[in-house]
Amino acid sequence: MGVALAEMVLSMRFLLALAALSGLFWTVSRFRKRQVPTWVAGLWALLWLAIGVVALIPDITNRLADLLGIGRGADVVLYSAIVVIIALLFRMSIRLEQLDRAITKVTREVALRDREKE
Amino acid sequence: MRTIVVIPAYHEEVTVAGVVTHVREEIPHVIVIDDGSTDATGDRARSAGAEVVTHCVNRGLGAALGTGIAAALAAGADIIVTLDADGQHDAADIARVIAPIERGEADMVIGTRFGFPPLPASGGGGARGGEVPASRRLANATANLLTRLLFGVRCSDTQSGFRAFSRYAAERIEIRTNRMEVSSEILAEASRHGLRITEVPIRTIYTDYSLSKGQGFTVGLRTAWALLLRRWF
Repeated sequence: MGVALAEMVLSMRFLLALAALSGLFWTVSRFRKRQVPTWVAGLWALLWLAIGVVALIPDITNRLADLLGIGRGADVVLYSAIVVIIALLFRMSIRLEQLDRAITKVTREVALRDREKE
Repeated sequence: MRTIVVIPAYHEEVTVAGVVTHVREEIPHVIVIDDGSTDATGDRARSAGAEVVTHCVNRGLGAALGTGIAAALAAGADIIVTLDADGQHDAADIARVIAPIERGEADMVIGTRFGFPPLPASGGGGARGGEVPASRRLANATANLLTRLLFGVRCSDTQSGFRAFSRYAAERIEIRTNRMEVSSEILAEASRHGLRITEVPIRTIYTDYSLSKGQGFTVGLRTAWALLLRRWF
């Protein structure tokens, strides 16, 4: 029983490490194709690296938790995830706003050009 | 001086022709911005004698006002008046709203529903008179406070759609927001450019129709959020 659980946890860690590695490759390839700005790629790379490190050395979260005064390592992961998600949401809402303005600009141009034709 | 009236309209086929007709008795040049309506708003406005500029997709009040002001500037306007297409504004007030600009005393005028004894309504179908409903007063007080805190502009009716701009003002005010938050944004822009703002009392004709078209609570919240974003980003 204990061995089975340990194996499962181990394979979860393995999967997570694999996910982090492919995430890292994905980020690097997008960066090399210049699809994302440098700082965004940097942030993503850091995020994937952090996930990879946590997957390979789970105990590091406990040491980090002690350092930060948070109860458990799992909580550190949870809190960081929330912060990252909020930051991403925020970025996305700003991006949406920019898109919104761009669409308005196009709509206005078209409207005013149609008017000139009349 | 050449005055042009800009009327943003979205799904206002019921009222837009009447509004255009009334306005043209005062000011002949009317530009209606049909903001992507799928009803007959554009056709009704055109047959009532307005020039119609059409947004192919709905972009919101702020976007429509921006397009209208750009169109009026291109048509050589010295004074630009904006008012609502739902019939809540009285075209007879236009002369008083543009008067401070004509006299060279203001760059921008807000037609306000508050801060003065309400003027008697001039009537019209289903008119309720000049009193502003309590729910509207509360919403407006909130919007005024927010505008003052965020942009440092004091105004008794920041959400009024009845405004006048001198050409000088219209050329400087840059509208970036798309929706209802535009009302506060215009004031913020005016204050940023050091424009002289004056308020003039206007009549409002609240009908069941115009009340149903106004800003509800959720729209109010969205407007507030958009203003916060506009302030810092």
